[in-house]
Amino acid sequence: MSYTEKQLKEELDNKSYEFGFVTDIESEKAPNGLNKDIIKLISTKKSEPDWLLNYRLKAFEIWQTMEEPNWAHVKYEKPDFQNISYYSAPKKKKELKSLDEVDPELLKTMEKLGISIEEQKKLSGVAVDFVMDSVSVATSFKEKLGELGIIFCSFSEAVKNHPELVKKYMGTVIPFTDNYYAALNSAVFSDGSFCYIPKGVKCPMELSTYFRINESGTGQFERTLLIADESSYVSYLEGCTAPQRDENQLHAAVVELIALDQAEIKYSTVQNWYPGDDKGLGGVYNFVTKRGICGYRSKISWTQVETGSAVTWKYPSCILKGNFSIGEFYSVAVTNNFQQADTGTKMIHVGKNTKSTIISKGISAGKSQNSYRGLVKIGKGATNSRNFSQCDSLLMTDQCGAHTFPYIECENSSATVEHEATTSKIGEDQLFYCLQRGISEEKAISLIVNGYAKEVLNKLPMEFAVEAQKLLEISLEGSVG
Amino acid sequence: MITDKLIYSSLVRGDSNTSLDLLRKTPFPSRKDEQWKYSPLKKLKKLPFINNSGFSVKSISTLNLPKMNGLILVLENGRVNANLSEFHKINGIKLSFLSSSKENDNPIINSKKENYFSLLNSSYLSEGISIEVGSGFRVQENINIINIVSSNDSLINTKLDLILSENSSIHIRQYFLAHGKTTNGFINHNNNFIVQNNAALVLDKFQDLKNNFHISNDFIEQEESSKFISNTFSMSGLLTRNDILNNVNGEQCHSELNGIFTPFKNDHIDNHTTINHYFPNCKSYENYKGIMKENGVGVFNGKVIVHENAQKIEAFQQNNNILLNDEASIYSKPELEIYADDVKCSHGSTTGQFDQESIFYLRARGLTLKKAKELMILGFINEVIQKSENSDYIDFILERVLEN
Repeated sequence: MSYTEKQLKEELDNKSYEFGFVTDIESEKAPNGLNKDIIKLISTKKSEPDWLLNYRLKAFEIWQTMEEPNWAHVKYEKPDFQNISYYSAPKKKKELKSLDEVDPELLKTMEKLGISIEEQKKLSGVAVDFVMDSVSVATSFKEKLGELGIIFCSFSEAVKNHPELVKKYMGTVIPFTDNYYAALNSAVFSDGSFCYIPKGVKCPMELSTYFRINESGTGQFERTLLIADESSYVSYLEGCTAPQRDENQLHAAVVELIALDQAEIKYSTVQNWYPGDDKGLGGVYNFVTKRGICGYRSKISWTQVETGSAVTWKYPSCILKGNFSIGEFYSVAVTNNFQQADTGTKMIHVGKNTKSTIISKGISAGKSQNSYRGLVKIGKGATNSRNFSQCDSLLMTDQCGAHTFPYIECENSSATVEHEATTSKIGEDQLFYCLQRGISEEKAISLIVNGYAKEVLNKLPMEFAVEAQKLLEISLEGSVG
Repeated sequence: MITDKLIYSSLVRGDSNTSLDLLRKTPFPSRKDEQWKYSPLKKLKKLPFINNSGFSVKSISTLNLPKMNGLILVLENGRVNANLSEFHKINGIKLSFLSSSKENDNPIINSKKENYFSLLNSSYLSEGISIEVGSGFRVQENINIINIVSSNDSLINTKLDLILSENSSIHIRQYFLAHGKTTNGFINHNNNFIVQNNAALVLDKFQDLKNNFHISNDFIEQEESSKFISNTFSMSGLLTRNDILNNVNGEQCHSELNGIFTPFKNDHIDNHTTINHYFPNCKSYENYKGIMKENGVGVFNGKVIVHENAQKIEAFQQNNNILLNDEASIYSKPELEIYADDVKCSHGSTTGQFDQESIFYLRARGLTLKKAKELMILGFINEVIQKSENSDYIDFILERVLEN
């Protein structure tokens, strides 16, 4: 039996946000508000060393002097930073050695998310570092990775077990002085992932982390640090779902990538946080700072499929410091209903013969606003650098908006920079062609949209590509007429 | 501060009294403002400008301008230089100078642009020209307006108000020039145009300010089925900045903004354009070509806004740049803001250098390197320069582009 578009639509109509359930786990929560005592509390709870506490306090001081930026093309109610709890962790009962010891409630949550750890372990060959709110509770495949010398663990574990690495690299790509939300994150970050690939090692499996905002009213401040040592390779997946809530939740993560000489990092994200309901109520605020730095002949590739969040504000960037380094950015951003996205990338060419490619596809539906904002900077020393950018926008209704704000700054005469952008709706002739061949209108639209985003979807690892395609369909549900 | 030594203008008319109050409340722009991110303003802010009205240009031929037909209006240091001008009456045109108008005459247009420099202009106005073209008059003769700075440190605030009534057309040529070795002068100009139904306006702007500053705030309002074409040729200037705001307030309009900018030694040329599409079924084209030499800096910031319900808009925006030296830089920012779905909008921006293979091709056919490069530049700007129909004017522009 074939599953028709109509059936899908019916199913979707009757279905609210699929992952909008709340896990009932006793959790320990810090009182609302932000001050030095709270930071000290977070640090003590996590039994952190003094240098990290000082780092947090310094970041907090800087943060207090900063102003919340408002240049992005989004409108939202500013979060009340004193009304957020900055620490929440599932109560730790004892050290966990095997899955049997994990809270059955938590296991159920994972099953609903479709990432049952048992199955993951047996079948997919993906090591999952599952972050429930702020503390990692289960890590698999650790031993297998350990044999290769790969460190893949939660950030707090890394602070305990590998302080020298954390100390050396943390904040080198995104210092806490960088921007308002990076400073906030540096002061209060709860947990996150840490990954180190040793020299010459090609990571045999795709590493993945599922982030999930759980406790109501808890800001999630993840911190990811990924270091690929010389001549190594790693592919990292990040996928997100969050339960349905009516109040806006803040997510301000920091992701730092460091690709040393001749290393390659592939970082893929599928972001499907709660976008708010069809009246624009609720939804997650996603203000993320992501940046990578490239050494000699290294490569960083960002791929993202953004379908969630009420407000997205995200610019995964590459600093192409080493000669012959390569930066890539592939993105599909879908906004529906009252979602707002201001997303793009920054490619900063410093080294000679550096190359960057930007492919950004925006799809706006409903009453949403979707903006591409990108910077390509060719520095004075970036001889023979090359950039190609393409950003296309697709408009599905007459009430949504699609905007492009590219910044091109070129200070070297031997560089070649190209940028092109188009904005259009689905072509009547394309639609007519499909209808004429007996394809229903909805199917035709889904076909065209998937074809439109193909260039980016193709860059995703297999299991993500499937999920991403399904997400595209769900996100655009009922938006065309 | 710019205004320290200035004398408040006696030409201020109508509601302009309030512009001085507004100016006092408006902070001087800084690089922290998105709109001024790339413009060097430090020097401009520090210079104590003066009002100066002396004449020193002896003859118009010393300016090396192309052959001109029609009216020639010469403003030197913000005053009409009648010896160099050529007046005669043209059918259908009502032309007046603000300095000879009566106290209670209101300006024909109140500009809707309010930024620091447009307010500075209306508070310390040196001279204004207003032109009204009667309905149905298709004026064959050009109006040439030559705006010269010939005295160091002088601030010149001039404006041109123009109303094109229904079914009329006119061709305006503006020249903004620095005479001889004048330095640190500043021509701050406002253009306010209203193009009514079925009217057509062509504006050519030539800017060669050398070691002086020049800011031009242009406000154009278009009504139904009107046509507006602006060609801006910016050759030099310590800071030459064009702020064009084009509001399209009617259906079936055609708007075109073209430009060539060639900053070289210590020059900074800034092009800011905004096209607002409020009504459906309109077309707009933007095409800017930049050639950056030595340590010249070029900026292109184009913005097309398609407002809600403005369906069936075709908007095309293009900016191509060539960097000839390593010290040269270009900042390009072609923006689109679109709130309607049935539109065709695109933009493109490229930055590069001469294609070595093409140079080789030309040299293999016996051209010198210099000649080959000239030919490449001609090819690069050809698309824009051909918009001008007058061959004298085209030759004049080409010569100046190649000369730099």
